[in-house]
Amino acid sequence: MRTMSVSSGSSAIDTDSSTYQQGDFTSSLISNRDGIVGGWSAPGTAHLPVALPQENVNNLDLLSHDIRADIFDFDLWSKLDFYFFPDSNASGDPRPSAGLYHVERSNPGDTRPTGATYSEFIRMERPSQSIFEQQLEFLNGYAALRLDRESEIVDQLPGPIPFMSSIVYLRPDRTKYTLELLETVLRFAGIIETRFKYSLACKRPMEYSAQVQPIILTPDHGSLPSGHATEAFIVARVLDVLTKSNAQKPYSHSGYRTQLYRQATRIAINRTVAGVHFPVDSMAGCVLGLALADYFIQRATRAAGNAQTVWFNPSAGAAELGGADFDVSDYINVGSSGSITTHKDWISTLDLVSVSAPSDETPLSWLWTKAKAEW
Amino acid sequence: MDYRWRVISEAEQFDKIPGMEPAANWFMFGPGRSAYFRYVAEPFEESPPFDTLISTIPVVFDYPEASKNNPALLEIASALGLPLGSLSGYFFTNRELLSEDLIRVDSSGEVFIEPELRKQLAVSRASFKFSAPISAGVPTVPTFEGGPEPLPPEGGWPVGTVITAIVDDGLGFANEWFRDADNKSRFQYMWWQDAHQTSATGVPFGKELGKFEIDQLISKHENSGIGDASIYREFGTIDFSSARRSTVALGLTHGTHVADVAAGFDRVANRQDRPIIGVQLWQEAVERGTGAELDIYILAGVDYILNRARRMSPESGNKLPVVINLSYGFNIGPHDGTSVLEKNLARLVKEYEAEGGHVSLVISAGNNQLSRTHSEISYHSDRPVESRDLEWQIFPDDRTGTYMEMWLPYSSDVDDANATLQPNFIDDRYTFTVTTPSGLTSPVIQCGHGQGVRLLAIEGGNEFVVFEAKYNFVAGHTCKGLLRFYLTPTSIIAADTGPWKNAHTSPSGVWRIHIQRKPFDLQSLPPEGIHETISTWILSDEEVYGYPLMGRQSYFVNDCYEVHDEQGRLIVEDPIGSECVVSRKSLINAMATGDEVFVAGSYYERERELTEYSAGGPRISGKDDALAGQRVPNAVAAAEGSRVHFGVLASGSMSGSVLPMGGTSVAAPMLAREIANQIANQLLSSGVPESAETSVLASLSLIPGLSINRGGFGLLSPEQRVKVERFIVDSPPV
Repeated sequence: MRTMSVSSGSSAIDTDSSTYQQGDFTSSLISNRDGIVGGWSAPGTAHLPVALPQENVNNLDLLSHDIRADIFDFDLWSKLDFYFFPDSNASGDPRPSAGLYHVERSNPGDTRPTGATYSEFIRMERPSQSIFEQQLEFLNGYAALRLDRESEIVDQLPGPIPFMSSIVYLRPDRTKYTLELLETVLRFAGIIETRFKYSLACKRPMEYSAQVQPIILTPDHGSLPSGHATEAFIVARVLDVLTKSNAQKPYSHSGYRTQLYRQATRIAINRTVAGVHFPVDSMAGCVLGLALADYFIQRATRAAGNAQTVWFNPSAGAAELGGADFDVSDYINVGSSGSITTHKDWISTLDLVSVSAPSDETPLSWLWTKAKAEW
Repeated sequence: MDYRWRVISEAEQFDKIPGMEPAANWFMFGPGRSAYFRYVAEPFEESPPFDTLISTIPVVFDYPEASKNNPALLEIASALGLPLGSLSGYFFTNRELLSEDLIRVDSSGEVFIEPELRKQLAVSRASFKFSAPISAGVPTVPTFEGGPEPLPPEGGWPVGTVITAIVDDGLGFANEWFRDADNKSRFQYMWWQDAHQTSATGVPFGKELGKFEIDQLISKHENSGIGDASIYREFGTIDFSSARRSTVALGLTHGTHVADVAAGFDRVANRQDRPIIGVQLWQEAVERGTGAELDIYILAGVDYILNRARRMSPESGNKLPVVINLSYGFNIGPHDGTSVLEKNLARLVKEYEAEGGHVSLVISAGNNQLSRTHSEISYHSDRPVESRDLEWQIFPDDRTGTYMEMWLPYSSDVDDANATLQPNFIDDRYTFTVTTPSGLTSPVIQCGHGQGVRLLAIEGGNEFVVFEAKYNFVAGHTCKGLLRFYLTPTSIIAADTGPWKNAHTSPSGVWRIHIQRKPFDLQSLPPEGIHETISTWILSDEEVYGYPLMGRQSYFVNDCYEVHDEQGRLIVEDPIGSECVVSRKSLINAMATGDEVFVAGSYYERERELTEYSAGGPRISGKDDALAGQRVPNAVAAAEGSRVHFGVLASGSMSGSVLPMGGTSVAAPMLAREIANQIANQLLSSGVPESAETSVLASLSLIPGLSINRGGFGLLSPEQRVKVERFIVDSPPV
């Protein structure tokens, strides 16, 4: 049937609702026009269409989901930079680290941009080989849960949304903007986590021991930070804040936050059960996901103030970290605020980063407002 | 591969010590050694045993009352610092204690025993059963002194209070079904028997929590982290950095499910009258599937429970009644009620009852009915004596040792009960040969204590023991001859660092045991003639739920055993008059044949038929005629919803989860719950709970065709199952 295809179903994350199969009609539309077009008649000035406002978020309503995605991504990503700070650099800290920077124009307002300031808001360092060696013990311990978790592990391969949908009410036809927002969030997490993985270049557990024997194909990108952990926690955090943003019942109940974070934890840990991640990868992914979520929320809500920063610093407290399992309550205040806690030595914060609060709606804030209206 | 038989013509090493565990040589000097010392850091590969031994060996012991003044026992008790006058018990020893002048193991592994002591020990009939060494520093005799104080409800224990105690693995004590209306725990005590941890106080090893600490844990983690799992992580039973299995991390755990069936209540019911004591068995002992290692931990667990029950009881008046659930089973042991574990459990129960307490020990019947792991070979003096063969199928790729116990019928001649000199424990009624799968037949095995044969695999000029069959006289209250068979694994993977790393594989295939009885002396028969039965059990070899599958269960394959009848139905009980040496009788849990226990089998709730797997009695006859009566399951409970609805719904590991589990493991806690209810009723009505079990048994219903061996007194009503109000049941109450 030649019609619009609409994806649906509880597991769908694709909200692209209109793929018009134009090519199939081309030849008939040629003969069709010839048959009915008649003589050319100019419409005249009186019937010219009203020009669209420029750089206006209302135009986003006219765009398809895919096109909007490009706009959201550009807006979000164009204020980011990434720098790997090598150990050869003599200034400051001698350890190599990878940093994500927020780029803020130095002359905001209605002037052409001429300069920018860079603020590092996420820094990650690679754990030592000794830490990975100690962490390897967990791969053996967690393997005992494989029979129990096998189907979850496989079903969680594509991403966290179906599992989060079982906590808050997500459906393509009733929460399409929320799902569009989450896709934006996941693309955001995806490029950042991959950039950190590439930079830190941590080997996978199976490269440390032949006896890990993962039950899924080990991905080719680096082990730390865990992408599944990053994505699960960014989604959990964004959903927690979004669903509470109208203070509507039942999402005002803290139980939703607890379950979202438990779900994210489960997804992260399942990757260790599967044999493809160390617990320390989940720790890094957890705080990365949370920090990215807070940054995203700040950008999307045009909130003034300082962004959440995080420094994953495994050389601090290394003696404890090697033998430490991933316990979510070490990193997130699950019970109350749901934000990052820094009571483990290897988690700390960087200097405050202020993100500007645009006075006009941005594409991201448009999406947030639409998504918020769904809760 | 070349194989060669070698005769063991006289008692060697530990067999020189009368009453010593028959398996001691295999596990301390023989191929089983690396498996035995698996969990302790011992340099056992290089150096002779005991020379550098720093670990602790748990020992369970038992001896007849008549021997309580035996000088050898008094001397040993004094050397070990054991409480004198205790008829049975357990203790923890090490090399220092063994290397007295009395008994010594020298650096070459030779065992010396002072001759007079040897004689007196033999006369005493004391029996000592070893378990695998542990690394914790353990006091010789645990007292359970110290530890947390109980925390009774305000106003004290209500009338009708009954303690339910659970000895199990994967015990999720923090689960909400064990909490009260204030979200506080109903667990008063919890002992995690981690034998790697030396305890400061309260328990000899592992870790103990009192209610106060459990409540703190629950409150601390109530709104944070990942729920119950956070509690177990802090406690230590979930720890993925350890090679030990974190069983409570699995979705379904045996102990949590069993405890919920026995003692789970809705929080709002606020059952302050149902406090709980929990014992998490040492996981490593559970993992060793034969059950041989569990004796000491179950015994210490029950000892602990009754100790803490005393502490919880009011200072004056009767002790609080206790219902203890043991949903564990194994088939190692004599099955006549006289195993060292059974005698010790009975002693503990009697001691508590002598103090005005009441104990109901509820045990699962076991799931082995159709396992083909039992044989009965009978000889009647009024029939010709024929030789018999047992065909024992050993499977390839079995990565654990395989064992079989052949218990010879009690003979007062062998027991030589009135001997004043050192008895010889020779049984000349029977001789045996063993034939390997490739047809190599052993020399004849004579039944003299410590005698037997072993099979050597010859490789590169070296000899490796891969099989042993040995006769031992088992003392204690058993006083029977035991022919014990040992096989190394049939598969040891290359470069194995596992428990059998130093062993050589044994051949898989059908092993034949040939049994020959000498003709009856018809001139001196008693008027009723002689009827003897040799009872054999192959020990469990399959690993336990939650643990890696390493073993493969061997079984008998004699042609006479029919699996299906002519219509293709499973044959569930031995056909009447069956003379097949492979039997479906007496496959009952070997821990459940003693006194002072209540045993539960299982049935399908909807069909009201016994399950096929639920094992039955009777207990086999033994030395003491008083014990020779029927020991069958007392009751069967609806542990399966129906033939298609597996198991009973009860709690999974984590609060809020619900999962089905079946088997007699679930039947036992159903019976335990009902007994606890009846004890409470009787306490409320008459103040004494003495006839609670009797009234439970009297309330059972019967169905046509219920076999005594498996069905006992009948069916426990399904509505007495777990919390009917919580789950939809498969059939309406009848």
